Amino acid sequence: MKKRGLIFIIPALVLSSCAVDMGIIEDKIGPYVTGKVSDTDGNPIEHIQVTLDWGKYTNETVVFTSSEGQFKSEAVISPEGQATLNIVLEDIDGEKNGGLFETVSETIVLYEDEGKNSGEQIIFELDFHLTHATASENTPQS
Amino acid sequence: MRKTIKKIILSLSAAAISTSCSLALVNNENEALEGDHKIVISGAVSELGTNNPLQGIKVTLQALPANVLYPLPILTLSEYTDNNGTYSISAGGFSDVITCKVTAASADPETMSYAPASQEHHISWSGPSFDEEKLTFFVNDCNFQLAKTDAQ
Repeated sequence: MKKRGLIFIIPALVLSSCAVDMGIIEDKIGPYVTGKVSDTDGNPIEHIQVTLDWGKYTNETVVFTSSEGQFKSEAVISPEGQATLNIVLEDIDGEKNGGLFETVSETIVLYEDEGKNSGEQIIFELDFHLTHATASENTPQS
Repeated sequence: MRKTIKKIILSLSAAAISTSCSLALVNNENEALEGDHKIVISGAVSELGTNNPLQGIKVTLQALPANVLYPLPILTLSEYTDNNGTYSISAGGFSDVITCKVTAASADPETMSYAPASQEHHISWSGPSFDEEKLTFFVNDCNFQLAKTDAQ
């Protein structure tokens, strides 16, 4: 009886310790907007707060650049096949991660047919180069 | 005299062996990965107790060679959770079996302090989580619940 109990318990313990989903979940289809944020020397900047405002179609999205200086977010394209993106890049950690960088705010119009096709996904690639700022020019807001 | 010489030779040999062993453990993290296998790890980070999603948590992936007694990371990447408390890390260039250590921690302990947490996942490049067509291993729901601590 004890041996039979162990036969059932041990596999259960193994399965419960695995954090891996037992089914493949495909990547979302997108479209996506991806970006690379670097300084004027081309060095990636980590932990830049990126706020994406797609206007009336959805709420704001906040993401952060990775250790490679990259970010990715789902794009919100209107039924007409275009989107106006208000994007703000803000250095929120002061002198950390390469120094204090200026805040950048841009409005970008994206057209769906101009997106890059990557397999099943449409990707819009953005590239930003930030310059160092003085503390008085760019006080972190958050 | 002979005993002294023998002791010196043995000491030098031991030193040479230990040096060569330590060289084998030198961190090769900066070496370019040349494999064609990829991993995608995603999940959510929330506050323990309240389940509130945590934005701006730093999630670090360390890829370690498996079956090594004292492994050193061959790849380290960091992402941050978005305003929904979710993250996704993609990394490629692998070929051998690896272990992935995923750690969630406060990006700025001075303003937002949470106790860090880690998980390890054995990546075998097989099974239902492995997409053979894309050569990608998916680890979904790699979630963390972090306990709040006093800000440092």
